Amino acid sequence: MPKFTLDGREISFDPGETVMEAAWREGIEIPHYCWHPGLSVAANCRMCLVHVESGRQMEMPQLAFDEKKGEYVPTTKPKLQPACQLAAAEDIVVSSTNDEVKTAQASVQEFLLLNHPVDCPICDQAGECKLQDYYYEHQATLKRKLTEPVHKPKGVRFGPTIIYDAERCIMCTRCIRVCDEVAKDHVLDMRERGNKNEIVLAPGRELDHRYTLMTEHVCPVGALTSQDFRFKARVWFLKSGQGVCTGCATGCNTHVDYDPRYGKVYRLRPRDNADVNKYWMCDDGMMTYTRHDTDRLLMPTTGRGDERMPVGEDEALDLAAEKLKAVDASKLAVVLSAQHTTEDNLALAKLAAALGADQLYLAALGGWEGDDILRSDDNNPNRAGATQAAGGVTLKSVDDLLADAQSGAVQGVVALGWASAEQLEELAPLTALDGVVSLTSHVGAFPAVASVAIPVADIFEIDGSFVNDKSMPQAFRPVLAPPTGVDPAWKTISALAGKLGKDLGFQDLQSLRQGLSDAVEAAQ
Amino acid sequence: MAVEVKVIKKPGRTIAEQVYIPEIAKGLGFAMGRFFKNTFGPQAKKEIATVKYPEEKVEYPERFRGIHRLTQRTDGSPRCVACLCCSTACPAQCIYIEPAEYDPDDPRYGYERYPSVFMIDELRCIFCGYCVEACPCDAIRMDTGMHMPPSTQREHFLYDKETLLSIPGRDGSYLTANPRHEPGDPTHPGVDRERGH
Amino acid sequence: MLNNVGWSLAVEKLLQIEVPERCQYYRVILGELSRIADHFTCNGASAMELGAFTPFLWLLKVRDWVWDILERETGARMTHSFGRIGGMAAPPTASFKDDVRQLIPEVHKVVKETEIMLLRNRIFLDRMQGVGVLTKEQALSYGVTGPVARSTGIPYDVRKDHPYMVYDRFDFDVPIGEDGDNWDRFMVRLEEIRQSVRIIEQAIEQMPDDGPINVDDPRIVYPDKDEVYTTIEATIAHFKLVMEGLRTPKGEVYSFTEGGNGELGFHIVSDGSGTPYRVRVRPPCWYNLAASREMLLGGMIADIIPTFGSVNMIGGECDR
Repeated sequence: MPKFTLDGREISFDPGETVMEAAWREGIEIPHYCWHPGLSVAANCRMCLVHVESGRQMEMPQLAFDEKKGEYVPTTKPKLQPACQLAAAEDIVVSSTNDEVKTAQASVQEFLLLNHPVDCPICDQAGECKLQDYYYEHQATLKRKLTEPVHKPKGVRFGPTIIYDAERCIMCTRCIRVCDEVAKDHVLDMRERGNKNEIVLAPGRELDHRYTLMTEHVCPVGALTSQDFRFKARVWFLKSGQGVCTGCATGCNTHVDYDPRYGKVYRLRPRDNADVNKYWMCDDGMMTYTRHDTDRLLMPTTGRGDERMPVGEDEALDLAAEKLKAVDASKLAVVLSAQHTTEDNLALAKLAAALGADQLYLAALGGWEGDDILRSDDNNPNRAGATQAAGGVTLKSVDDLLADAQSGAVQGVVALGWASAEQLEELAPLTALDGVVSLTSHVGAFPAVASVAIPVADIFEIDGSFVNDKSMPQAFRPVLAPPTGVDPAWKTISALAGKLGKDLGFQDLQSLRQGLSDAVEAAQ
Repeated sequence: MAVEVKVIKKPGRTIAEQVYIPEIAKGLGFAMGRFFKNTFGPQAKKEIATVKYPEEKVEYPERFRGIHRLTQRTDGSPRCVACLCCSTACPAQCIYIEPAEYDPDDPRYGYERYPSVFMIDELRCIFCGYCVEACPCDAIRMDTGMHMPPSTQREHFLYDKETLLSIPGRDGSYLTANPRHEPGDPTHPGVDRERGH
Repeated sequence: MLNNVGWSLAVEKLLQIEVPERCQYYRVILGELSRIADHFTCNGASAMELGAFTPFLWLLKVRDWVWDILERETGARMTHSFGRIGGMAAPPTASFKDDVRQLIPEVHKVVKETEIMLLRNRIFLDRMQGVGVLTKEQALSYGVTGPVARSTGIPYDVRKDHPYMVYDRFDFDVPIGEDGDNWDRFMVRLEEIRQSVRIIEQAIEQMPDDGPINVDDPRIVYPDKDEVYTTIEATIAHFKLVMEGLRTPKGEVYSFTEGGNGELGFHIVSDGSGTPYRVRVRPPCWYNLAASREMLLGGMIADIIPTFGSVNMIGGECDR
């Protein structure tokens, strides 16, 4: 591979790469605002100016103050070039830290802050703002301008998800490029020039495509803020965990931002993964975090309708085991969940095998539209994983389950997860059965018809993996602690098996995962 | 610099000291002399270091860090914009704030936000003054010149937004010194998309 | 105040900055005032525990006058919270020098009075002299510093041996004892009060009346409030300090100063972020307390009282 030198360090590059890209790949950040690895080059912020020290120097005329003469004299200075647009070439020597470049960085930074409002106290970006970071690193001087800054519209509603503040905007056009290049919808553009310019909507339009939150995500400053996250939390209090989006079968990688003091998730952000989601996520996926807190099932319950009442954990397991024992194994339906991890499903499949139940079903959500950008047609994150966990057994749908229940072929049900494609009323035939056990993190259709509902941990609280629609398994780590007395589903299933007098052959996640490869082989 | 050392020698003991009585008389006499001087002596020569507390009070100095107060804008709303700097800087974590946004019809919408809840647990507070230093808006101050009024109930030490706003500064003023333009101020340019630039 | 300054100096050493001269004098004066207050309290309490209540009250009276000055300067009598990395929270008040000048004769007077009342009293002498003896060797082996070490005859004073700030500009003596008994510890502290007054007298004369107190770098010290309210640059600098803390270069540093009871050291390991990776405090009292075993062994139960009093154990420093 050809190489060039950046600040004394050799960097190899693919022909056609820019200096910025090659450095970024090596983990070196040349300061920049408008450049984004996933977007086209605009080269309008001028923050990434670097000095090519090798080769013939380009000089730029300038007037510099001469102390001795006491006046300005014409002289020259090296012409700097934007690293984001400068194609890397063999053996060039580039500096992003010499005095010329430092002066340029400080000047650009000062220029961008000339008319910036004093908004850090009310700006959600404070704490992750490039203006703040680069001020600290590259400027660190106080204001020299004495006049009132230019004022522009603030708090402009761009759409249901995004609020725009023109005063904070540095016109990097990242948001415009996200709409053009990722969402393929030219809904934003820039108007006017100089200190009057601002981002505007296309006439008669709102910012309402499926990737609007990406405009906020790429905004290096606080010009675009998310209606959902607005004023909810301060980012410097948030910690970040690694997750996988549960929105659809694409399985976009996420940063799960949560406040450790309250154990509350505040937002998801896309986590770069070139093979899955690159740098992006859709709005619906970004909002999946809201499921976590709403309608959680925190206590085991027993009974249906008005007779539903909470019971102790152990009591619930006893009750579930008793009800399942009363059902003949051949008439027991085991419902896997396309919303749960492969590990949870595998544990349930093992329970089915241990009990001798061979009627396996799959509960999945529907009502979703895919697209050819990121969104998969299937809005269940782990249909493939659940199928693998079943080990080659054909999974019937929930419709089949209802038909079988009505025909008498099914007399008892163990179901994982709250999600199913059906409405509550449609599952009503199951209320005729006595033994319906639901293992669920949230209140939903299955727990509503269950005679025993046992809470399990939600996606942010467990170790596990999803298999996406490209058959790519992706593991994630727990971010929060589950509520008191609530375990991951695989643990609860193992405990339930114990009550039924069966040993599922795993003690921890590791030995359970060992069984996963066996199941995958069996499926093949 | 050479170390200058001063050795302290032990004094020898005299018989007068060993028999104890003369020294105790001397010490007592010294103390009693002060007693009589302060009780019956002329006013100018008295050396009384104490004040008769409930009737006389020592004025707290200018820089004294007393209980907190929240400053107000001219219209009486809290100057605080709920940026949470104070609660970040607070080593005792005694400040709890919930930010809220103004109504879209409000002239301040987009420019400001406000605390819907602002609570200081004055029992937990260690009166270090970091919150005042961390405030970028001159919204929180400790210049009240008051110590915490005592109480036997914990709830009385949880100061909410209204309480904090109702405490004046030592000079009797409630207003902030922050000169920032406010939407609606005559000095505020008040640009919006309709009116243009 | 001595702790405030000690910590600030440690971080400043890591940042390789030095605060302006005016601030250094300010720190010296406030620190020496704190030392006087500390020694007054310790000696007063020692005397009170042996039954001499009047000297206790008289010493504490002056301590309160010292605290009056500290309160005027810092805003609190005891929990000053006044030292800042790169300077102080506020410049000296207009009346600072006059206040201190007025205080000095009072300090001398009460030290003199204490000597008259106590030092010839046989009860006091019997319970202090020859009681709670710590030898030089023991003191060294326990790592004892401060007045306790000096009472055994070790002339170790950080202000003299490793001068920091402007201590090398002052003329003062290091009082040492001969036997390391309670009496020596008491007398070393009493003499140190006089020496602190000498330092203060010189510092007051040398301290400039105007000039900056804080270093001029918005990345270390909060910018001026007026700038923060109106300009974005200062606001950003302010927020950076609030959000992330003060970022120091990677590395580690040990910085030590003469606290009220001996060498107060701070060992900081920095990973380059706004919060220290590791901080270890070397509190003087922890070592002094350990050595009190040697002072007490073989003595009488009743001797614990004067001995423990003269060690001047500060509970917070031994909480570890």
